[in-house]
Amino acid sequence: MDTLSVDVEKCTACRACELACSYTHEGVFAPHLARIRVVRFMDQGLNVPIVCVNCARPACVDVCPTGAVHIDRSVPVVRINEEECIGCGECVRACPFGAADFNDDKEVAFMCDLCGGEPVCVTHCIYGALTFEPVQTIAQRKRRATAEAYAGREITA
Amino acid sequence: MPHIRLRFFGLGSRASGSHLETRFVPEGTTIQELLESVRSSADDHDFLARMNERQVSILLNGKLIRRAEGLQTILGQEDVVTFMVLVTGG
Amino acid sequence: MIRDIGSQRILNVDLSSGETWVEELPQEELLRFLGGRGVAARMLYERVPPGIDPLGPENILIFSPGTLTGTSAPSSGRSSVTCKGPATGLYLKVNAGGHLGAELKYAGFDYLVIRGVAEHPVYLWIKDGEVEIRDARHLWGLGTREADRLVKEELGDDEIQTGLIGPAGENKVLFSCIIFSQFSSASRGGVGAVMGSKNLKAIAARGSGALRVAEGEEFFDLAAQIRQELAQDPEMEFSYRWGTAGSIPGCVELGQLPSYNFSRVGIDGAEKLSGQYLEDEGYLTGRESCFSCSTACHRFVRTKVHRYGEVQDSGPELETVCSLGAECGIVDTEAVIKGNQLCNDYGLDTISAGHVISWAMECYEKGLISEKQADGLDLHFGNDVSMLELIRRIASREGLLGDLLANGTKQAAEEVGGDSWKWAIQAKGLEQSAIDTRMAKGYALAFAVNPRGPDHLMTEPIAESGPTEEARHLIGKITGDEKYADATLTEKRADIVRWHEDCYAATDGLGFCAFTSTASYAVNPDNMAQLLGHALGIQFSEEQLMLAGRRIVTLERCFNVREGARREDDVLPWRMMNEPVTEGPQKGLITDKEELDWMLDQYYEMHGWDPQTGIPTPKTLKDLGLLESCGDIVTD
Repeated sequence: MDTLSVDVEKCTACRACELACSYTHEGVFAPHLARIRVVRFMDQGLNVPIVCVNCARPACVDVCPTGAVHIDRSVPVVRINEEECIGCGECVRACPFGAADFNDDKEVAFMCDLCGGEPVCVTHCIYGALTFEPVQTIAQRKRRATAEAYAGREITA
Repeated sequence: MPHIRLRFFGLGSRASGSHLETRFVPEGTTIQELLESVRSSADDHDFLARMNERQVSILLNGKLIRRAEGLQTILGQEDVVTFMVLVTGG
Repeated sequence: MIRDIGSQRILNVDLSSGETWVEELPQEELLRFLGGRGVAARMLYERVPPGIDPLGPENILIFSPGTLTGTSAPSSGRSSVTCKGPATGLYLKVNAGGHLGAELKYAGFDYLVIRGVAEHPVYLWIKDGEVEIRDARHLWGLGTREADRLVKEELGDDEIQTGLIGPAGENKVLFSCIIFSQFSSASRGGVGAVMGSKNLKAIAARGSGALRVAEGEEFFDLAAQIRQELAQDPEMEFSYRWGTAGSIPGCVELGQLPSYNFSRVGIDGAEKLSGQYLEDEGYLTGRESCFSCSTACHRFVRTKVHRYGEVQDSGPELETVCSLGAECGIVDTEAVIKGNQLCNDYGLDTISAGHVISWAMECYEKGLISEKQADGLDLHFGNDVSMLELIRRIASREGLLGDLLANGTKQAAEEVGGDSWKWAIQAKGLEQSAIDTRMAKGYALAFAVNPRGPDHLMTEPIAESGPTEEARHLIGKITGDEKYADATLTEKRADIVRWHEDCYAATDGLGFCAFTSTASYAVNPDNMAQLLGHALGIQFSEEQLMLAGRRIVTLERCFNVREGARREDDVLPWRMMNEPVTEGPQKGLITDKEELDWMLDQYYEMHGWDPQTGIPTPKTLKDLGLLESCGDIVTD
């Protein structure tokens, strides 16, 4: 399963991802409507992009009373059907990561749909802080990094 | 064979300080040829190797080289050649 | 709330009466002055009569993000802050990055115009179209970091963006600054003092609004393309890797590192001041970006041996390692990191702070400031403990020396007397930034004619020495021949400076970072005009853009003329015009009065300004459509 993943060390809080995302989905520039948001800890020089991690059994789908939030098996990815959304906000409350949010103007919730398989946030992140790859690849890379530490080699991951 | 000194900024894993190398070059070697030789022997991590060649600033004995004529300058004994990127301000 | 880029709104605040009101900007003003710095200059000209006290209620402080700030245009997050400057008594525009500008735009405003003086310390809370003037008495006296934290805590939102002054601005130090979102700063000319004189501690902004461009697809695609081009540009990659202080080895190599108060051009151990050293030695623990910028030239650092206490904060820029380091005869990395942190927390411009201190050191070494007058401090060059202590004293105007230096080198030299004015490296009342104008003639001209004083962040002709092929190509385009890409020539400097003036004004008006348009050229007048055109849904040409830039620069000159500035004020500091370079590859070079006069003659003629006085002629004003607004200066 392909998923968005974040290398926090590389994020500089340029927020180009937020701009690309809000434009692509809403046709305007508005970080408040972005499906990806950067949380900053300026006293530590740490910037953490929060993304939808594309759960296999998403809480947002489980709690939706109308089925507006559903899984599109073709990608696979979670999607929200805005016509069916009644704006209850339960999915926002249910997401453990804070990756779902609410649009006051349209009175619907929104969350990441991976742009149908080619996420624009990834292409706009010049530093490579965002990647889109199978979660198994991430596991493999971390195994190697751990092993390299034991082997006393320079850690490349 | 002229003996020359090269100074680099932005090479390898240690970028600071004066990075001085000396070498002998064949008689008649131009700055262009020297640049090509340096880039081809630099490894992948070298900034100088990866960057667009047109963006390299080159100094000969402390003076900036103007590309058109300057690259064809033939190196002489004890010449100092510096490769770097110039940025200012901030 | 969705706002179209072309529909700009001005938020006015009168701190004396507590009134606030909103104006809409007619689109034709936007087209004539591009927004940002340009419209702010126009408003300042119209709303601030000549002769007012910069630290009084009649001065106006204008915050203006660029017209494209808040969009995906790369590196477009910069804002201007405009007022009459307290250090010079002249036009003052300062520029800052960070994230405040974008947030103001999402909050519904393109300009924030502040007049008057509050009865007691206050801060502005701007959220989604509403503004509240809130009590700041409990914040007064706090450093910028603590104040930022408290504001976010009491407003209950950690995503608020702030613009803050520290104790230095509160004490009206003539080189106090405004800190934007922690890592950026509107620094020069005492802009922080203007805010302090209004009893205004902070601007806090939060916006959930949206910005819309007229031709979305064209805009977004072009912006994305330019972002990728910038990412490939080695200049930008260099800045990401080592920050602006990555230029130190280059300066050392070329023998152009201002040291010991511009009396020398190099210092032993200079590599310890470099951006490369910060990375190699493990001081660098992070890199930070301004809004929408993929360069991330800002540093985040942590001290290692904590010689002056532990620092974990924003790291020093090129100008800072020069001013607090080499200029003070100091090459200790931790001293400069600490000095930078103190300046950020107290809210002081590092360029002036360093040059004021190095001036004092030269005075001390030459016996013009005694140990007694130095309040017991040893002010020999190289004394890092004294440098740090002086920063503290200046910020609080403590002691004879702290108070003296807080007024800048021009006034301090007048008090100290003797020959001390000769090594006050200032003109118009502003300390020169760490670029040696003796060896770069275009810079010399640009610094001399800069309306705010001799520094680089108004017009920096980086291309003039032809450091890259792109730069040489640009010089060839401007002058007709690439051979003029030579900073030791006086020929064609006027042409080169004028092009950079126009480009800089356009860059500032739209909100771009000048690195992208004058160090890299991936952002350029052609694609800036295209982006503006797509944003507004109109045709807009490169010529119109550069003409608007010309109009802005001329208007700024008119402001200064109205305040009494003339050709005689377009000078460089005495040392820069009278003492040739003493060592290194540039030994013997100088840009003296004769050369400057020659270049000024050319420059004024090209601009259509009277060569005796530097005043724009009626014809020039008419051609730029400025006769109506600036006609009052031609009756002088």
